[in-house]
Amino acid sequence: MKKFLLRTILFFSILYLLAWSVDIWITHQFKKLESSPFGNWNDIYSSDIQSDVLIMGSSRAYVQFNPRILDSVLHVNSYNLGMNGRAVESQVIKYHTYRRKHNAKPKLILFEIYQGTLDTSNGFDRIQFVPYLKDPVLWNDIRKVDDFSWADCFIPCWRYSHYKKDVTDIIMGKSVYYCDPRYTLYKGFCDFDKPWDGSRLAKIDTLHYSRIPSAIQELNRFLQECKEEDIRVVFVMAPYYVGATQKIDDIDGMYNLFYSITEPYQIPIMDYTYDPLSCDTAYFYNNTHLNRKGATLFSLKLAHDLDSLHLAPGYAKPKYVRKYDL
Amino acid sequence: MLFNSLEFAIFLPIVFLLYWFVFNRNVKGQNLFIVMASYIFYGWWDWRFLFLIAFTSFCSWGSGLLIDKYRHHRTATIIHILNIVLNLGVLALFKYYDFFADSFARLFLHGNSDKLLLHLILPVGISFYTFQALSYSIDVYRQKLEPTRDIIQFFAFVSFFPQLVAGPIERATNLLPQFEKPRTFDYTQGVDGMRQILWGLFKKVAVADTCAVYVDLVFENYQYQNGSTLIIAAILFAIQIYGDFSGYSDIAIGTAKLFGIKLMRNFRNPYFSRDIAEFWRRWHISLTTWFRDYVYIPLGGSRVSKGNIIRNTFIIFLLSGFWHGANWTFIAWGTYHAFLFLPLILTGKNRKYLNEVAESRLLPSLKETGQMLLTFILVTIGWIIFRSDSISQAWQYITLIPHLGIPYTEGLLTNALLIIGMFFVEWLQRTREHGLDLQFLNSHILKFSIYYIIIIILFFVQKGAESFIYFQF
Repeated sequence: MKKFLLRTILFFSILYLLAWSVDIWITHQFKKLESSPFGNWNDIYSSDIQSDVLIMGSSRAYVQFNPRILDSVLHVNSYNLGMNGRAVESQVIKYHTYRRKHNAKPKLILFEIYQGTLDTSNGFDRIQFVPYLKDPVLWNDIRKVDDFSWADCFIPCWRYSHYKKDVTDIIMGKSVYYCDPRYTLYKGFCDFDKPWDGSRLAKIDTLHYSRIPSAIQELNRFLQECKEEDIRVVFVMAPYYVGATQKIDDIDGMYNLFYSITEPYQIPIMDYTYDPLSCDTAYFYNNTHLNRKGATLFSLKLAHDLDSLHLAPGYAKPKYVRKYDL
Repeated sequence: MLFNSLEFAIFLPIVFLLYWFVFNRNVKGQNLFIVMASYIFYGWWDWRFLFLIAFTSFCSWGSGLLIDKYRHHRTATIIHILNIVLNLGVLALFKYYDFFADSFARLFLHGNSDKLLLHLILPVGISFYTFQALSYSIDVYRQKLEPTRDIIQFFAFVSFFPQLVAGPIERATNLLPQFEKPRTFDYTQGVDGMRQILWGLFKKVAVADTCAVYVDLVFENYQYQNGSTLIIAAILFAIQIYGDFSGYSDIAIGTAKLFGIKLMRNFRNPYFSRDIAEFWRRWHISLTTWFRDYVYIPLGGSRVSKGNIIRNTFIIFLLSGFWHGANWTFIAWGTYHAFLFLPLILTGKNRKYLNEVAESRLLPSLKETGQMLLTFILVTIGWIIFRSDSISQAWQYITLIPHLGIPYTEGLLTNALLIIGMFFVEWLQRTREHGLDLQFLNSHILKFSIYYIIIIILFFVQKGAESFIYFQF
């Protein structure tokens, strides 16, 4: 029995060492990436984001809020934490990781909201977390949203085994989405320049706004946390193509929901839903996302509005306290 | 709990260490621990069905004692029949009730079966452990076995977790005595068990699960496929079901070896068979021999008139088909095999090939190759019936085969390499117990390298813990 146990332990130790080495090598390849979304996470884990303005939200933050423009207009240092296809629970986890990794405490958070903010994340782009799952805190947070198992955190290579094709493509630089230099991020912002495609909109009959209780609870917790830390939060409803807005069922209900959430914290909502930008497909690449031209114009407009409303860092008090809807 | 899951990877070493280091002082303790571990293993899937397995076990154990007590009275026969009816009744209720109710409704109630159907969940492995428990009481009744008074020992025999949910269906005469004796750990047996587990995982994860992707895709959309694609899917299903089930058996037998228990062999390279009779001596051996010993021989076997031989052959194959599930496809599959088997038994050629193919030669002769190929084709046609959802689907599938065309080949290269690898190893190792029986190799480095290569392959091809096909039976 002793011989059997010793040999079994030896066998599995060698196997563990082998898997561990491969795991380290793959993770190293991921940490070299500067494009989406790993570029974003790599910045967070390198602990040197010194931003006073943070942009949070979904893909609508990720491709629409250009930090270069915000910085130049407001004279701030901003960073975009937007997450493609992700709702509030994942966004808050990303924010907590940002803080936990000793990046700068922001003075202002621009929180992008839309009808999908209070949804579940449905495992979209789940691979973005994989190289960082060795961080037990991140693993513990994200497993509740994305169903990662303990083995993903503790067994070397296990986390990569579910994404063999993606991992191979990324390491070999073949993945367009993850490796294309055109999608290299600037302070977390992804500059997407694509022509209008209305096919997705044509398939939609009605859009419903999400109100998942756990997501509402998470957003409330996050806002309370910001209040306690004296971080100013501004909700931003970025332009949404008017043809899609018309299809939102009970849009007043959506507004009331966001008002009821922001009310206790005195959080302003800057609403660009009916902005002139929203009426022209020349500024969009689909019904949800502005293209490069649209994002540039929107970011410029947002920066000026923040400045004129005294919401940017540097202003001790905003000009208005409630009902900021533009 | 699946053998190819992380839960089992944790469960097994814990149970192994406790078994040999904590509960090793006496047989009773070890048996009790086996029962506890097995019930955890089974209850992991659905704890409610633990009561069912406990009930079945208790009834068979009790009937064994009563049969022995009233040995020379008619009471023994009554108890024996009652136990059979009870066991088969439970099996029939869970597995076959809805099938019969639905068939009845189609015949007499214009298909209105809503009020008749119970929609009961089929307990995993119910056919396996019911047959195992039955073998005990039948053997006691036939005085081939002394009844055990130790209830824990009997519960360990019925619920022994490696073979609980998909066999091999052990005989009480083989397994029960092993739970009576003290077990000592044997290094060679332990290492061989580990190798057999690894080989079983290769067959299941690398071969069966990768074939399943193509097979499922084609069988679910067979109407839109050309004949070439349908042929490939049928061949891959034949390989999938072999890899899946024999892989499970290898893992079960290997795991049992770690606990000092020797289970019977369930597969002996069935696709190297030269005729259908040889195939049935090599495929799901534990079930085939069960039906042979408890149904076929009591009916007179082949030592009866030709008419009765035909009757007995049909009975055994129909039962075998029906055992797999409540669907006409399984019955048709059994009938199809009966028709293939009959000419051999009627001409006395059913025991022609009792040795290994190409014995003491590296390659088979041209004749042997042709025989193996023909047998494989015949068996594969049977698998089309088996895999289909209905007889009409099977028929349509077969009738579409002549419409050949350019086949769908997405992902087939990996499949082909893995399948060739498996059959190459099994061919070289065909006289040994399993593909990774490497006791003849002296080089530890070589052996370790082979294990690591297999593990790396498993890592690259695995798609998560897929269930085993035979769990549904």
